[in-house]
Amino acid sequence: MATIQSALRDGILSEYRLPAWETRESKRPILIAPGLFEWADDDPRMMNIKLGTGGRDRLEHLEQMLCDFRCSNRPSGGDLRRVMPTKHGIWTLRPYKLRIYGWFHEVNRFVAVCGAHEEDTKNHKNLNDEKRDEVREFLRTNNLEKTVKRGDLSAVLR
Amino acid sequence: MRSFDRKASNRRQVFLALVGSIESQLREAYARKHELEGETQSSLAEKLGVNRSVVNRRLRGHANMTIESVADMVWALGHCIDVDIVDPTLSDTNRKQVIPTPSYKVLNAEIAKSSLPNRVTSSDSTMKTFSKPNSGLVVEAIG
Repeated sequence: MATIQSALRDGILSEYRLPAWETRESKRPILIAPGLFEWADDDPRMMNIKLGTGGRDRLEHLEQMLCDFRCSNRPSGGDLRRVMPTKHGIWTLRPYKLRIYGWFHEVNRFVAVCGAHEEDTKNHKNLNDEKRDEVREFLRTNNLEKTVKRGDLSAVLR
Repeated sequence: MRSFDRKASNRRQVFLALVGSIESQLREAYARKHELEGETQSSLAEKLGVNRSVVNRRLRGHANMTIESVADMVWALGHCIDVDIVDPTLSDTNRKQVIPTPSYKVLNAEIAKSSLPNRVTSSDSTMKTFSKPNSGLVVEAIG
């Protein structure tokens, strides 16, 4: 059975590095599967400022959320939702118009695996389930199922 | 450690540092108030005379706030603001010097003149010049 440490060592997961403009100290790591980086880097909608808000595109909103998750005193649960059925322990982070799917391996420690645009999850009824299953498949393939911390918001954020 | 491929230009980084700093401090100030005094988004909205969704959008970073709305939020939270625009060469800070680069048009024109490859993105020019942290700008909400 693999552990988070072995997944990091083997390159199955990477620790998210804060962008140059973030000046706060990191308080906790956030782990990301390489597929999520590739999805965000390759999707032109992520960089389209017209699809963003507040003068920022979706990638910048995503980065802001990841920064807050790494650096805030207490990560906010406001943009965090459990994916049904909740027994699998899959969660979504919700930056502006995005869904980031993953799981908590410890309190306040999130692993992000894949993402989708909010409008796509509305237009394709099964996309949310498919993304949930993508996370489950990722867990299965990499023998990380035992690392999933289950429970409601109070179990994963403090 | 890994980050996204796109790197913001130096000019963009100053903007992202500013909005990120304001937003994160507003959120943390709200979280503290909520925990200690039971402040809610509704009670903030009531003080400001706006709908709760307006406060929610501001706290989540989904609104392009004016300076006036930032000040309103800070006031409603019972905080005050301390803004420092810092020249890193003159102050005691770990921030690196910010060197304004020409706009893309000027930059591209210069490149075209010098017959170098004409496709240079903002990230190309930034990545060579700057490293973290370099915004040179500090905003603090003080409780």
